[in-house]
Amino acid sequence: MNYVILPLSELPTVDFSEVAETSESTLRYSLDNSKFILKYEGEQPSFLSGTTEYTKAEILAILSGDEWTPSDPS
Amino acid sequence: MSDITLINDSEQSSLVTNGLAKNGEMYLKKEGSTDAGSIVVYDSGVWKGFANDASASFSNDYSLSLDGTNDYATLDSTYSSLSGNKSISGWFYFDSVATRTIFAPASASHWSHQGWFILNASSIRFKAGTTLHTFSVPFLSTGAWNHLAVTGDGTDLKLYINGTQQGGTKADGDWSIGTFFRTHTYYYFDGYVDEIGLWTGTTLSSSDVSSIANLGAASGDKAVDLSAYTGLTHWWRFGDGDSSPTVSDNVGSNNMTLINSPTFVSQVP
Repeated sequence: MNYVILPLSELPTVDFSEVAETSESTLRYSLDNSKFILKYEGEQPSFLSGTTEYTKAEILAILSGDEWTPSDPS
Repeated sequence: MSDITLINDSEQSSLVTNGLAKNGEMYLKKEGSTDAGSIVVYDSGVWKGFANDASASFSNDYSLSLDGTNDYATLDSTYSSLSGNKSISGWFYFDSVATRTIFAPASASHWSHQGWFILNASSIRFKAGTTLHTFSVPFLSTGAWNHLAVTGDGTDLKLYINGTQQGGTKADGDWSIGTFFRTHTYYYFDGYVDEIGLWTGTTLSSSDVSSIANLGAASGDKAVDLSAYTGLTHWWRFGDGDSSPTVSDNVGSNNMTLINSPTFVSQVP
């Protein structure tokens, strides 16, 4: 699986038939809602052309940061 | 040749409680008891079982793979206040141990609205009533299957890891279950999950939990047929007989729907 991060402004361009996400309402957004992630198998969909790809390990490291995940729950 | 003694569940428990269980002794489970017709052997504090013909048809070929980024599952019908006797059991394989959700309330609208989740490698949290309990547990390893279970009877809340109670007994309260494998939009599960059973009117005994966690080990396939355990109301098998995105409820009628394409894989406990 490959992963990308897109700014919220790119949301209208997403072709959900080419990615693993179900719909706009199930996307994972950053805590400030300024960006979201997508994932796909194999070749990068054409609507994402040129977007930086991340591996699972790379995206998990990014998502564990405070831009995406609240710190220690209590 | 020696005779084999017939025992029921309570007699089996009494053998341990009274110190009468001896290593290597075999017993045959009576009709009406858990795993009726199977042979059980006591071995240094653990009952090991050898399934009867009826349960030999059980097989487990698939589990659910979640990548920890954004995939999860929703229940068709959620539980906002599951009270009285109840239990939940499942197999979990952690690719990484950070804060990872097993389930969250349907009403979770903030990262603090947790249900049952892994806080870190040595802490598991579970919300009962309005209290979020923390169980201190032995180090949870990655890259291996663990059996986790929680039982409640309205008074006592117990957590089990691989069949052994851990972290003490807490105060039980109502459980709220709506979404599996994430809390609101955070703390997604990273790894595999399999064979989750929910008992909405039954508190599993410690010997039941031990049996679920350990009985299958003798055959090399850790998962067991949960329908053998009295009071099971929901059983999600994650791939065995399922067609994505639906995870069928094999006992009741409360299916799960997979979101963002987690996959069924042949990695099983």
